[in-house]
Amino acid sequence: MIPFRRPASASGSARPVTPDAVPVRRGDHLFPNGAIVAKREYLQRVRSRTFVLATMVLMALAVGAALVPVLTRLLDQQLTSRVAVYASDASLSFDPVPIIAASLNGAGAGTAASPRPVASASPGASPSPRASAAPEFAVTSVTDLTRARADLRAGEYAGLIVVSRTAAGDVGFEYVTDAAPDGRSAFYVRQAATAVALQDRLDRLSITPVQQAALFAPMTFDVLPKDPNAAPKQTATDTISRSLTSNILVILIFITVITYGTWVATSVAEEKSSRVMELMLSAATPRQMLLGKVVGNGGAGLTQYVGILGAGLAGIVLQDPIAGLFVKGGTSGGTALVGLTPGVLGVFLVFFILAFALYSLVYAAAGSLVSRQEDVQQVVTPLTFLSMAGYFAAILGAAATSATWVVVLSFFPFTSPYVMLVRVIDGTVQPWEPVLAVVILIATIGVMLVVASRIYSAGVLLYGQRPTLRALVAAARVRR
Amino acid sequence: MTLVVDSLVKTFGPVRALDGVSFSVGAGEVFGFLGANGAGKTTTMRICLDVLRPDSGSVTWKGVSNTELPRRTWGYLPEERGLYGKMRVLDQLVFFARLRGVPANQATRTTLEWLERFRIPEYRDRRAEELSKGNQQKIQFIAAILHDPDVLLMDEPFTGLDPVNVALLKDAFLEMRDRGKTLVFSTHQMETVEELAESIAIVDAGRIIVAGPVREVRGASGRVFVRLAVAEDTELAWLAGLDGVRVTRPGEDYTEMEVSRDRDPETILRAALDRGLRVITFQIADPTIEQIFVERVGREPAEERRLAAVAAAGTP
Repeated sequence: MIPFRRPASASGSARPVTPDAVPVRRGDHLFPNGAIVAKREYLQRVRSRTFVLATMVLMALAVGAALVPVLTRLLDQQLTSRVAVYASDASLSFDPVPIIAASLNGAGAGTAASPRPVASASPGASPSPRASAAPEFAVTSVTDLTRARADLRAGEYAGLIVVSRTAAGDVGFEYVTDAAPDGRSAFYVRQAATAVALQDRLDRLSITPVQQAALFAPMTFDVLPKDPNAAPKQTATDTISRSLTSNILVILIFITVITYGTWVATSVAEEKSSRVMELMLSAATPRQMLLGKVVGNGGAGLTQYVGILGAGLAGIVLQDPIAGLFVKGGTSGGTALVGLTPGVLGVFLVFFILAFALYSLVYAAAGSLVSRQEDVQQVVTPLTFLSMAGYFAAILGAAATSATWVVVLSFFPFTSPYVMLVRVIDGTVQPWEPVLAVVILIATIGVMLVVASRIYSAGVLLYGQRPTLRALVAAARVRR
Repeated sequence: MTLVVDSLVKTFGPVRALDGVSFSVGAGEVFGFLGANGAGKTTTMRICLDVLRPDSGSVTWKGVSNTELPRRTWGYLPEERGLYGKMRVLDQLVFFARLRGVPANQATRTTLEWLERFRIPEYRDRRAEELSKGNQQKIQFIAAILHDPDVLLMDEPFTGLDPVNVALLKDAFLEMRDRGKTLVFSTHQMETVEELAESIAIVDAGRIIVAGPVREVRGASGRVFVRLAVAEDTELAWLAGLDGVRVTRPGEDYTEMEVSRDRDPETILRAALDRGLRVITFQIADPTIEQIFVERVGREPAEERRLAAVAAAGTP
């Protein structure tokens, strides 16, 4: 063991030296580094197991929601009650089965006039029966009463209607069933019996079919506003549908901000806790990293949305083919959302994207302040509350869209995506108002980009301690 | 001189992390940056990279301010190692190279060459978090040099590695030197400095204590050391009886002593031979960097991990 020290490395003077670095101005351009960061963020997010799982579950839910109407009809069909009619002893001049079936299943008019009121807004239009719906009652005619009673006891039928002729010459009915005498089915059967009795009495009075038709023809009936010059009032369904539309869109923005904003904050905290931040900082500027994160995570969020919407739309499109496979009967038209015009949808998309951009910048700055991922939730909670405030303002404000506080909040950048959107859907804004709100929002995003970059660049090198508010303000004022 | 660090001052709240740090490094030189943790090494490197801005002072490379230099000038191996855990090795390295302006296909090619070189080509599609610490450090090293930077800043490059990996990384390190890169590395392992560095700077509490070529620094102290080993006696108790000789390091392999300036070191060899001992090693040496460090800083270059990161990041 000879402890001679190693010879010192050869002198450096003879070594090849790389040509002088070209003194290129080191830029803070967003391209290409912002795009490279965005691409990484996007791919990492989209490939992550949680993302794939969550998206698949949500897509399945969307398909399920779209198929709910089909499912309801399928269930309805299975709940069909079989009812037997015995009318051999009643010596009727007509077949009572179609009348009973039509009445039980809610059809307005059969071969005979219906005593049930016909709901129709416009005179002259033929009443549209619930032809699409599967019949709730399957009515069959029986001729063997003894056997029918046996079948009834065996559970073959839910009820047996026995039509007879009373001593006075009128028709009489017996409804044999286990159902409650004052239940729904007894009520419908009584109505059906009324229709049969009415038809029988009209026949015995020798009223001709033409006279019968005239007797039950619908009359004109109009609802008019008190002020003859007022615009036609929204129908009750319209109002409900409109508020449903704004609720859905506002909730969409709210969920987006909270979920994808937290993604951004987590992604920043992850870089800090894994200490890859040092390496990143030597390769990219804070502004490039910040914008890359917002765009990458936003893109991943949009991907998830497209997936969910696509699944939902596929479900809606497939509704009828699937219904055709399992459910007898035609198609069912869903209720369209009133107020979801292309214009409103456009305004929604603009606010949707701007709200995400604004909030996720703040979320990124917040994420840069914690050293461990477990602390992310703590630091983003105030932001969640801020977003929630906008959401509730929008929901509450929808009832009073012209109140001053609603108008003010519809321009304040952190609440305007919610509140202005509701005002637009309500249709009570001047065209310049959403435009101004968008301009304010974009300007705020510009300012926030600067402030967030500064907090971010100070925050990302900060380990161990939670910075004070004063330190944050100081950081935001330093130009780096 | 091409890398010039001039009078850097940086305070974090009440802490003065850097208090006028100046040194310069020639192009193609290997420069060792010594100091206990918290002395200011990491802060200096971060300022070079323009990740932090100094309160005053400047950093230039070939006359160009570091705030104007393209980021690909620098390769950085941070002390706090970190990779994207869930990202595959190849994707990750190409990502970092692309951020510094290397085209993707070229980055891929170079990455594969280096993985081969470090004997880990099979890890190209593994997630970084699945790799051992030593292998992660290799990946980190590749990330620092993939874009062919002019200056390599490496913060404690050989800490926490097993000897095999240290040897591998040292080879790569020396290859970068032979390619004409300027290498600045910090360490608290004094032997590494003596082995690799041509010039050094010792920093303590934000101030440069000693700086210059290693040989000059060692020669300038005026102290003389003798290392002696003889057959069949590791105690060498008789040394205590010699005037002007002070044993500084007893050891099974050799015994090191400091010899006062007025005594000829060769008299020690003679004394050993006079006693009929068989001399295996006799070496006259300048003080080691470690001895100089202890002498000038006044304490051992002890390691206090963590503290460095906190102190360097600072309390605002």
